[in-house]
Amino acid sequence: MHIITANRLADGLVVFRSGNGRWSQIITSAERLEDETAVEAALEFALADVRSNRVVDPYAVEVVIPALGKDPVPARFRERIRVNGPTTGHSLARPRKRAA
Amino acid sequence: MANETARLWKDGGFRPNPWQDWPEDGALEPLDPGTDALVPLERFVADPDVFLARKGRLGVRVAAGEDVAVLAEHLENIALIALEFPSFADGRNYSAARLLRERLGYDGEIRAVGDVLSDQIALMRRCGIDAFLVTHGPTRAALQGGRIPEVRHYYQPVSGPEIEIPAGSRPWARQPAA
Amino acid sequence: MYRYDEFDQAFVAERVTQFRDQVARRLAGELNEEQFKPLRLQNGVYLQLHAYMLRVAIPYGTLSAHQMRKLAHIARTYDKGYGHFTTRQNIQFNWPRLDDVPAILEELAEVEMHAIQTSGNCIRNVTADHFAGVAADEAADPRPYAEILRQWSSLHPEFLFLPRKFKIAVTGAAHDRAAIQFHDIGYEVKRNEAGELGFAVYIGGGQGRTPMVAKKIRDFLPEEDLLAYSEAILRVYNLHGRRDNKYKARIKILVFETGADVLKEEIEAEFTKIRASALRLPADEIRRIEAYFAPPAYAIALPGEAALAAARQADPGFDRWVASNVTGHRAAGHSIVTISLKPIGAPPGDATADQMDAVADIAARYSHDEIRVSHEQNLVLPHVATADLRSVFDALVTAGLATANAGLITDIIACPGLDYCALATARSIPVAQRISERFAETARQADIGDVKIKISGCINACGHHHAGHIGILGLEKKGEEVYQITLGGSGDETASIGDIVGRGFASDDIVDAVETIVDTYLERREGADESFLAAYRRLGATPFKKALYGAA
Repeated sequence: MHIITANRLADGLVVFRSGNGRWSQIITSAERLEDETAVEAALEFALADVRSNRVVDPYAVEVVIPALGKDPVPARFRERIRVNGPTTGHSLARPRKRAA
Repeated sequence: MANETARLWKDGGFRPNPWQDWPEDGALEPLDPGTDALVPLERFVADPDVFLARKGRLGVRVAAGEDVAVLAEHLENIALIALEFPSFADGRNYSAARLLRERLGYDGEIRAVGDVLSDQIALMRRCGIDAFLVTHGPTRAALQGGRIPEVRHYYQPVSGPEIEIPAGSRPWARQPAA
Repeated sequence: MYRYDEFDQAFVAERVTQFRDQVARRLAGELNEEQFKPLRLQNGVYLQLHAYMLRVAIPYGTLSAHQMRKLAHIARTYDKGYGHFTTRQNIQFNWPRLDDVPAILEELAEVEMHAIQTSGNCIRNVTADHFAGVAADEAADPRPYAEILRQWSSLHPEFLFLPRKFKIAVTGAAHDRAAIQFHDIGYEVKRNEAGELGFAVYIGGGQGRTPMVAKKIRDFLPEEDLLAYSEAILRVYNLHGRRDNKYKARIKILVFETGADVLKEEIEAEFTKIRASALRLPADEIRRIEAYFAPPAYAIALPGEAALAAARQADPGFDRWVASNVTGHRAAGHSIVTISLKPIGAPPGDATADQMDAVADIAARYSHDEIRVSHEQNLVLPHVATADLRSVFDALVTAGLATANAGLITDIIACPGLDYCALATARSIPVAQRISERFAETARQADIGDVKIKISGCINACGHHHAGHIGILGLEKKGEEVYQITLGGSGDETASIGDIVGRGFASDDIVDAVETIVDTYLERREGADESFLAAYRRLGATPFKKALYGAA
């Protein structure tokens, strides 16, 4: 199973493409693509959003669903870090003052 | 290529481009003797006399990485040197332009041909390039609209000896010519 | 410190305007990502794993308290409240919005800072010895030359589209703290027999997937020829450096494939032709730039040594900190203080906005307003009166910045690795954190002495693992992080590239492996005077291999 991810152009944050064509920071709503045809079709839509300058660098990420009703979890650890943020246990970080 | 004429930017406007590329060896239709011919450097250097004897003007096309010093003895007979930029990221011919202007004293047209971003035009001009035949649409639009981004304070003397370095400023830094 | 004049200020302001326009064109869709990328990179903006990253230049690692406060303000206002000091004496912000970057650059310009050429295939921020101007062993302060090089290289029209990035470092001391032999050009300021200033010139050093120690191509280049020689090197590289393979595009490969002698001849031939040009530096201009870097007016003959000795005796914590983090100063009664950004278990090189403000306050009060960033990802207070050391220590304790480990085994260099970087293949920071925790005990650190551990999260070697006494390279194998160890690297004047010791270690085993190496050193050293590097050079890899992999 795959989902489509990218970075939002204006703020650079990691986003996931949902079935209704929206891009969300929350992985829960990411469209779950069962086969290659579905992935290719979704990537086509994503590239259209690149051309309309909403997102950059879209690609498909392989995921598994650990249990019924749970969020998708990427198969590669690189992608898990990308979803969950740095693993450095950073006590320093706090939200940006300037939000979207 | 018909639309080439519309794409040459020189002296503040798009100009007709009378130059024709020299055909590959063995081509069926050689150029008319009176045509202005743009000859690949390698081809020219292999047999300069053939091209110097033609009636039309002589231009030389320089691929990125070719050594322009081999043209030194012929420069007064060369009306145009076209420097190729196969990709905006290939910066070799910036050096070639400076060598032509500053070391070899070439004062004919130096034309950038190929992939040039609008943000590179000002840099190229400082290196001595004075005409542009570019593939990138937005760059042509920027030239047309007079929207060429430029930082007009320079830290390097690059344009040759004729521009005086103002006294009292850092010698490696100077304002642009007014 | 160097201060912008009107010309510099106008230059940076124009550049900010230009980038504001480029960002607007990008957001409006007039530039696509492919076209925008080289432009944003030349202003230090990357797209990383989680967000954009902005790298701000700190020329030759010198900044004022005022500038540090601005960095704190940027961290607080536009980022998540912290910044990361890098091995190239810069600072990186990990979470800025692209549409905020023009405003950030404008704020930086207010304090004479910028992000120009902190990325891209151009001449990068020029680095220098972090003890420049105060080190006791210096021929001359390298920073005036670094500043001249900074100006000359800023938007140099011929050299913005080089085959690959280009890094220049300058040191003024024979003991090399700036790792000049791992740079594309390394300049060592020195005096010739006649007592004149000039440079030894090294080219073609670098790390990455093909590490090379630089070759010396000039033993003495007169001071006035600095820019002409630099321009000759850059022109030869721009024309002849490989562009067919980005992994073979650095000047080190050109030096290697052409041969240092042949390339030197080409450079010298080019130099001869441009030597007598406007690039020749007039002595009075050099002296004028030098004046900006004149030492502050130190108070004369401050007492302090006796009080210091008593304070050290009274407080073992203070004593340990002085032993590791305080260095002898050129001026009597003064000291150089290293502020460790390596608290036990924390990400190397990170500082919060509050910590940056605290350092700014301390520098304003005790260090003549000046701060340095070291390539070892620490901060330095270069002008502290020895009598003030106790007060400085107390203030640093309050800010959580008094870790007594400069130059010790927990003073680890690490690249951001897979926690932040889009190119990384494995994490680096968590490995540094775990090693730091393993060796936390202060007496043990003091016993182990000078061991430099350097960790990179991919083959590009931003964590300088090739130059680590113990180098660690994180790779991905079959979906798992694997760490390869090198031993015996060094970035000083005896520069060497570490030897790969054997097969890699799983993430769970890497800290044990490092401990095994350290224990082997402790067993085999000839005494506490023999450093890890000296012992390794004497013993070779064999005893370490045996300890790691058993007799094979």
